Amino acid sequence: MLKLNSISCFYGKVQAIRDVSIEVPQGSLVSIIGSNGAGKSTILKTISGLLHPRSGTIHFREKEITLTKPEEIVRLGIIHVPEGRLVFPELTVRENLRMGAYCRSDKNEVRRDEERMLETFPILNQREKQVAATLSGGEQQMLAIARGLMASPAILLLDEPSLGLAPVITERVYSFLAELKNRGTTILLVEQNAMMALELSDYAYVLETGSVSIKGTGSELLSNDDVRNLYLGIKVDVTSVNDTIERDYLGGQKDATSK
Amino acid sequence: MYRERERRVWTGKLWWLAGVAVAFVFPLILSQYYLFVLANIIIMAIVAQGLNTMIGWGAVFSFGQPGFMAFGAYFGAILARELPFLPFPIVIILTAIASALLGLLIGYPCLRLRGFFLAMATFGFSSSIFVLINFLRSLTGGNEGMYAPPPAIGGISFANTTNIFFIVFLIGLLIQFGVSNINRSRTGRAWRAIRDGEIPAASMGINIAKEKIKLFILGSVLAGVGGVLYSYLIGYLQSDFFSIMGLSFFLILVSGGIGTVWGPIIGSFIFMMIPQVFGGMFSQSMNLVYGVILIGFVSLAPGGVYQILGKLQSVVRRGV
Repeated sequence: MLKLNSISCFYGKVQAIRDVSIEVPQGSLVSIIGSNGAGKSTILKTISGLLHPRSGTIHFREKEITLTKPEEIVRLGIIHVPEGRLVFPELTVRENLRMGAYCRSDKNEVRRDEERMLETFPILNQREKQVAATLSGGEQQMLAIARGLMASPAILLLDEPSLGLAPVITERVYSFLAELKNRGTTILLVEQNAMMALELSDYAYVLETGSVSIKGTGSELLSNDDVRNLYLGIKVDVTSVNDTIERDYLGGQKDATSK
Repeated sequence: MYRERERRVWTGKLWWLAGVAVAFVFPLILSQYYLFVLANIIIMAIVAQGLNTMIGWGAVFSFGQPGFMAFGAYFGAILARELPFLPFPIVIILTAIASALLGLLIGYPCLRLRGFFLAMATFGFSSSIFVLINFLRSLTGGNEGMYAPPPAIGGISFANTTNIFFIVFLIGLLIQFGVSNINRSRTGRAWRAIRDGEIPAASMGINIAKEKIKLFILGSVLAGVGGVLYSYLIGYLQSDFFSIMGLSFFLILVSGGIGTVWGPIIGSFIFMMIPQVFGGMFSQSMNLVYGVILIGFVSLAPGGVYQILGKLQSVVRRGV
């Protein structure tokens, strides 16, 4: 459904992503994992039109959207839930939900979705009339996702939904994502929290300093030694980790560190 | 639940109608002088409301209000002078349209700028309007100013203060009604969303440039309409009247409460009543009084009277 074909993107002179190709089939959950600054958020921003790639193409349902404006991309049903729960702090919870449906014209459906969303997230229902700034981090994340869903997205782009949340709350967010996936929503998920993301993913990409280093199904990556070492914090074989670090980061100069 | 909502909408409308009735009470209890002051308060509140929508909802910092107000005043007055048969509501509507066009013309290039630079560009626009007024001597009377015709319909003029007060009050009420409805509408929500964050607003599919221009046009129209009403009330126009208003609207907003629907009215009341209260003692140094009050609000209660009222309310509630 969504296809990125060897995208490269720059911030000024700095290359943020390098020759990245990603495919998200209809109804699947695909995730991009990787450490801080690997370019994960940049990919999402490029898809939603906030940034334009220097080379490569993006296709959505066979239509090229590489240089389309953000508001038109939203109208196509590509909904981006940005990193850091950017809810509207001075708008009430209900108003935030309505903003999600800004581009929709089917008023009655919107009303029904609004009630459905409040039913799905009882905590938001309780705080319906409060301004979003008074919500806790987890509640704001729920609100941001619910707001994204209010747009009745064809594909949902989620940027680090677990960022800064307590583990218990993260689990709740993820159990909701699992439910969404079962309902057939197409999701492209970006995460540092690799374990949770991979357990849920149909397919996943590992991003390392701007390019895809490993890809495979969620379960393949979960059992991949490199992924386990570097992203899941499971020490399979210490020497192989040291070798990897030596090869990738120290350029083979082992002596430099031992001094 | 639906029935409750309907009833609330109904009582809401009744309150506005009650507002119309209140207009007839003021002339009974206030002297001509205080009717004049009250009309002036409402006019300042209308222009401040324009700035309030821009800053409070869209974070569009414009210093253009005095310029747009002067434009509206002169445009309306010249139109009424050249075409005396035009009934005054038509004059007001035409002025509003002209202000909207000017707002579009100025807003389109200016809104590519943000924050400080937008403020400077609109300040430049305001200053050039005053220069232009003084320059176009044959049209505006230049430095000496010009006589502004009173509101009239078909040769019957409504020149006395009570009549002008009614006109100002009703238009003010209409604008207030309109603004509080826009505030709750889809467009109003979009504006407030832009104020809260441009990136998430854009990711909702809001065309930010377009919405900001709409907001700027609304602000310009309110300033223009305020200008015509001002020309009716004073009966005489000089560019100095407007150029000294410079920061007045900011003072009004800060003291009343930026981003609240009723803040500009409260602020305008405070602003206009200061000379009435302190006039005797500080007649030579009124700007000092304004300055002290502005600093006081900004440092102690940046949310204005609205914030103070909110705090009082919570204190009272805790006490009970």
